[in-house]
Amino acid sequence: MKKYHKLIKDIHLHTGLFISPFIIIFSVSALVLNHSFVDWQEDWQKWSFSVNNKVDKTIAFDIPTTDKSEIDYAKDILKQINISGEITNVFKDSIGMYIPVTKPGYRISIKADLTSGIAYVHSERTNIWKKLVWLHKMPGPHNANIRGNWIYTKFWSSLVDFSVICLFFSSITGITLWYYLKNERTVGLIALLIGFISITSLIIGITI
Amino acid sequence: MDIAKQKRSLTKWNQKIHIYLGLYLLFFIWLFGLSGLLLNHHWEFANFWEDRKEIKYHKTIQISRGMEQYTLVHEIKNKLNLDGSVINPIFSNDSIFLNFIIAKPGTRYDVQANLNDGKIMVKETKFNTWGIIRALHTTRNPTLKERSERYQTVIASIWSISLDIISVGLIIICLGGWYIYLQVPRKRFYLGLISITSGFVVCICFLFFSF
Repeated sequence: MKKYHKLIKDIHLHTGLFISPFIIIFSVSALVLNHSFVDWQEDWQKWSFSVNNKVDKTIAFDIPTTDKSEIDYAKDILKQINISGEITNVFKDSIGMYIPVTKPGYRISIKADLTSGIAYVHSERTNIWKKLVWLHKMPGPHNANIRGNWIYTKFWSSLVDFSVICLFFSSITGITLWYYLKNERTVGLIALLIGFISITSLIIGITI
Repeated sequence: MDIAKQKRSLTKWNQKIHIYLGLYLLFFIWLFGLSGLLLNHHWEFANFWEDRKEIKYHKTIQISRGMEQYTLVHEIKNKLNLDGSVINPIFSNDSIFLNFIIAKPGTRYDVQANLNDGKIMVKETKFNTWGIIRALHTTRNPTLKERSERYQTVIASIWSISLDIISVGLIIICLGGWYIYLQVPRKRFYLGLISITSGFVVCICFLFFSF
């Protein structure tokens, strides 16, 4: 086992160092989400249609063919009007389509007029806290059938998966390295037991 | 105490904190790592919504008159012996019905109370283990906007506090880890620099550059 010690140490070091900025992002955003010191909550219903109240620019587009799914239809329009981001929802009727789009630092409300071929765009910048919350929650469980429709959301999602796997590796190698430290075994075991008792009692308390 | 001795002491205690905090948070880290993966993916084996079990039942209780919404909801909740956080209590337009949800990880009660005759309809929904794990990840304090429509239980508040402890603990583990990294021999230091820089570059790109 001892011959693997250096390898285990290296895995712990490199996985830990790589994921540390991700952990900082997720920890700080968890604090933001758990408290009200920052108004992070979006009124999706309100801002999805905010273009009705304020228009920053209008852009002409060629009306796409109707043989596409709603999300592909919306993506086609976004490509033509040169706007990128994650489409959070699509509201379509015979004459128009509302396409709310988000990305870190921006939320964009688009109304595409399907009779005249003109897109009305209203864009708002968001602060650093909302950026962190965006990164924490994306892609997330909602609107699963369309979520991850922006390449960077997919990229971020893969990175987060990778960092969670690294986190598991880092924790397992951490336990192994602790096992080698004979002087730390007793106190470490107590810390591990207290942690186990804390989480078990909390889960039992909150679910029963 | 000379500087070298202080530095040795700092290194020793930093390492101890890194180990003990890591071990204490180990199961929390696994729980939130796993539940984070579940929330980001829609794996067939982890379906919770389709596997839910619903039952409906009626009860009649004595409901006090002329009480505020908050007190009324708690009176009904206590008389029905239901446990969980109260979400979104709403009176019907004619003020005859009071609807609200009581939720805790794994269980949800949709309650409709007739305030005139005290008849209560409860729809109880039970979720499987995957549903519980997902709910544990998303249980948090209500925001300012939600405070008038969400009353949290004491245990849910304690869970929310534990989220803070985990977050702060993880930040301390990272900072301590960086300090330990600064002490490693030169060859490992440069290799480590590649790991930490690549992590930072990706995160900074997503945080500060719009694509």
